[in-house]
Amino acid sequence: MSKILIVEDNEMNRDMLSRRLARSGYEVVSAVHGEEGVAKAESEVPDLILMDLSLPVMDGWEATRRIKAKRDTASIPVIGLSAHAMKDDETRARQSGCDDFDTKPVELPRLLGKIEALLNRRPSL
Amino acid sequence: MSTAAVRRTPAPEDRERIHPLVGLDYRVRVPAMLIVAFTVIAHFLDKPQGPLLWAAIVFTGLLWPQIAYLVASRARDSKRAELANLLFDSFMLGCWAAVISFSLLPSLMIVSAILTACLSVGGPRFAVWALGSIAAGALLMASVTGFHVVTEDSLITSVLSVAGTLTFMGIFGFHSHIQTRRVVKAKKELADQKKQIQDQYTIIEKALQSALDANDAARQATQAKSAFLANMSHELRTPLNAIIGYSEMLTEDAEAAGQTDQVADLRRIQNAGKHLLGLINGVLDLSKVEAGKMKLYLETFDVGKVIEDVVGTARPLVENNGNRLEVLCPPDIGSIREDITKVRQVLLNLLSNAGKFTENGIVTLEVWRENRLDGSWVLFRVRDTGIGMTPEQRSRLFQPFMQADAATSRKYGGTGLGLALCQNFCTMMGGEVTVESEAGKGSAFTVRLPGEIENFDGEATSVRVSTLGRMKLSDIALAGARAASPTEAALPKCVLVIDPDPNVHDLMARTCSKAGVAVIGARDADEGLRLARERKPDVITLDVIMPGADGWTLLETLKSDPAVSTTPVLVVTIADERDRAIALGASDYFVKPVDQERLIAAFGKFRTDRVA
Repeated sequence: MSKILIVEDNEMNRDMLSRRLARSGYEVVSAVHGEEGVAKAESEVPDLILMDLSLPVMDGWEATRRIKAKRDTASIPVIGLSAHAMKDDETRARQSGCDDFDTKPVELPRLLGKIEALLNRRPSL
Repeated sequence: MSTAAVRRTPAPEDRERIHPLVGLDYRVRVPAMLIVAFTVIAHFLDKPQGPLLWAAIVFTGLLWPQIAYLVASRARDSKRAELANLLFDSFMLGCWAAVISFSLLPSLMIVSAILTACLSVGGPRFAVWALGSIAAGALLMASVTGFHVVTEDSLITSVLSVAGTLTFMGIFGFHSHIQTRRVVKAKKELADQKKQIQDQYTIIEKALQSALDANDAARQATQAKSAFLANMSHELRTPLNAIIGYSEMLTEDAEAAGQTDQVADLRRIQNAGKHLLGLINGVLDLSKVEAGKMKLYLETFDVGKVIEDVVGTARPLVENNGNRLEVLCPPDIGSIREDITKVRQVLLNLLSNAGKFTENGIVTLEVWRENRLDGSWVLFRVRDTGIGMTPEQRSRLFQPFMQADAATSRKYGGTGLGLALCQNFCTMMGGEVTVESEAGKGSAFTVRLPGEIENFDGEATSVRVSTLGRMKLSDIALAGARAASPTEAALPKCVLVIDPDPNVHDLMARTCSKAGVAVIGARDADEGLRLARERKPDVITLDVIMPGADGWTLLETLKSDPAVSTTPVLVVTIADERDRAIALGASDYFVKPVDQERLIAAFGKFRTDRVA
């Protein structure tokens, strides 16, 4: 079972996303801000990270940069999530190291497609 | 005035008008010629003469003044004809001087009267011409009758001559007095008018300033409102996401558990939530455009690909209502440089609208290029055979939240924001949306976008921030200037104003700076000539009436100096001597007080002439 780390500050969004992903057959762990996200990426070693970009304490762009800078976590694929459907959000997300990007509100089938694509690309450990 | 200087054909309105000089001369000529006739009769009183002399006396004293008036009043250029008449006067009186054997007092009267008249009417140069005419007449007549000189006159001749001389002096003195009074009065009126104009100018300036201030305040208020809306929209989206998300989850649960009655209700919550989300997104977009925060992400893309993509998405929406979707797009339509997301959004919106308001009909998407005077354009037309709109419904179409009417909203749904956004996006992208429609027959929406790949700076994408709010403001500010000077683009960079009046410099500086024209000023002829040579202005305005120097001479000097002779000179003065100015090379002539807008428009005209 693939393990997904959700970094999301909004409680309802986090709850919905983790429950729906759990129902789709993933093991889900979560973090509420960027710093915790970086820490959990190291301690939990998830197969994929869903990273909200507007986060307190440390924003998603910075957290992604740090995750991608560490040798242990650099290979974990990250999908950036943003409520602003703005193109510069996506550009900035990719510049920070995100492997893919999606907008909120989440359309589950589309997000699942992106998750599967990234997981399949990565040889399972 | 030398007749050689009068070369220009008079303007049509001049032909209708007889020069005031003609009437004035007539009133002087009638008594003057009678006095001359009686003086001649007195001279020959005790010497019997033949009928020829009597005929000549009658012609001079009675007929000539009438003939002169008729000739001058019917001439195309009445002033010029009157000057010719005066030269004939001089010639004829020269003849009479010879006929009366240069008898001292009458001759003195004759010569002094005609010379004074010519001097006052035509100036010193013309007086010299008149003197020549007198001499020619005298010589011609003396060569016919023989050259006699009589030194003694009869008493009656002397008395008549002295009386005549006094009469002429009286007439010219009185005339000069009247002229002086008129000049003084005109100057006073001019000063009053100038003051009035300046007062009005101040009032207008104040009004303009307060209008601009009000505009500024309104813009700030709009921006504050838009910022508030943007924040609100964002705050509204968060709970709404939860509503939609949880209802989706519950739907999935209910479907899994086979509770179909609950599924229908849950879907209603979902749909209502999605509708609300669409509204909020629309409001957010609109407020961003209005607040000047909407950005354009410009990239060069293939129009054909976008059409393919949009049609793919829109086809199910359109075909839902039993419609057929037809696409007419030439394969070589090429690329444009725009915000691809917004182009897609606009086309999708128009297509889904067309599908929504048409049943069992045809929706056509047509794409083509057009090259027009204002550049190359790509046009997209979405035509349907649906319910159409009445003119009244059409007029409300692009306003936010306005659907054709309330009944339409109930029947067809929709937020009423789509078209307002389409229009805003197209305006931002440098284009427009137009609509043609007839109730019951269908509608056609046409989007026009710039077709050239312009300002491509090498980056894959560049960002253009919406400036809609500011654009509107500046449009208002510029509208006046544009209307006043259609030749705005061709306005000169620098104007030299040669005028002794400091008020004129002040006024010109203010109007010109508004029109973006630099002004340099000279208060006298020497400085004017120096600045014209040194600074090479694009246009010169010149008042020919200057204290201590002759503006006419300056005009001649400017026009004969190869360094500045091509610079257009507009004469702006109180004197009415247009012909003279044009003959000396002035490009145009304005009588003070001048309408500043007209003057500035004239700058543009002559600037273009010069460049061409």
